[in-house]
Amino acid sequence: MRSFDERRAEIFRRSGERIKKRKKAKRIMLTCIPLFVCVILWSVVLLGQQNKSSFTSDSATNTNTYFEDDCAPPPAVYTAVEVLEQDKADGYYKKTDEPLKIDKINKFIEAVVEASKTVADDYTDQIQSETDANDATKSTSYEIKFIMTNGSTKSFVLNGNKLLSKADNAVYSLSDSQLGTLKALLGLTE
Amino acid sequence: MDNGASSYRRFLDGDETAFDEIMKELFDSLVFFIDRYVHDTHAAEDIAIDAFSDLLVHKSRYNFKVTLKTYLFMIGRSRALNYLKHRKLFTMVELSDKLVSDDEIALEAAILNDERKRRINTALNQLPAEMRVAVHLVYFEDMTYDGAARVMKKSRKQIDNLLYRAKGELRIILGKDGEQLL
Repeated sequence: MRSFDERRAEIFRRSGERIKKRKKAKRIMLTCIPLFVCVILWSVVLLGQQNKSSFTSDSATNTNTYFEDDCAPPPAVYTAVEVLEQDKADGYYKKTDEPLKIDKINKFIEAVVEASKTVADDYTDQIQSETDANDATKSTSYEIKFIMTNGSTKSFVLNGNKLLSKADNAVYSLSDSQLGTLKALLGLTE
Repeated sequence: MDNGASSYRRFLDGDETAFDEIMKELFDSLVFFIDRYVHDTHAAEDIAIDAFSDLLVHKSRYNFKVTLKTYLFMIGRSRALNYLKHRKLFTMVELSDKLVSDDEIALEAAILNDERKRRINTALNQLPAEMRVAVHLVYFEDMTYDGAARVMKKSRKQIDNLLYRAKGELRIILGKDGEQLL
């Protein structure tokens, strides 16, 4: 057992040590907290800048790709397809606004147009004249009108087995099977 | 007697000698109390030194709502339990086989200044730990039931029950002579 003075000295020595430790811990905390806050702020700012720059570079790359690859702009969205029988006031009229059906009709016509582009330009006039001749013989012709979201329209005239694009006055000839399919799509078959 | 509270107030006001008064009044009792938990006088002394250094490190922690003795004993108990928890090698020693050191004898002689207390102390070793501590606080340290309850972190009723059961046990241990001691 220690004497009274030894105990007293030990108590003061230990308390002095503990006070020193507490002060040191407090100092460390006071240094670390601002440092920690600074690091967090810095990383937030850095991350923010990084995100911003990556977003800008991404959009720039995308734009460049868009132009470099000569990609087609996003396809026009059609809201409805109108089919009406020409030259008759109370003729056939049908309007379709089913997106799937509209898409099918559009794709089919686009496919026909693409296939017919292989036909040489020299023959276009010839076909045009043939169409005119057919117009005389076959009385029924239908106007197919695609209505877009912005209200503008794209029209075709189906006359016999000829399809006339009103936008560029180009005439495309359809085979019997193609004609049958198109009529079925348009609901012209009885 | 305010069990050192006024001395501690004087110490806080800058009177260094007041701390010596507190030590003289409470140190040995605290060591003896801690020894009830740790069963090692040197470790008990070490823990008591730590408890006293708490008074110096956290000067504003003591709010004078309880006696300084109760406050110190609360720190002592908590530190003793902490010591027991962290002691890696805990050797179980039969109390009958335990060698009583000279320091322990000296400490007992200092605290237990009459024959009655000494006899009860010998009998106390046969009681369960919680009863032992409750009897120690109330009969040896003259603490109130509320003070003992605060130190042991129990309710007043629990202390009451512990002491009632302890008295019964002590009656059995001490026999007819013992009844006069209680």
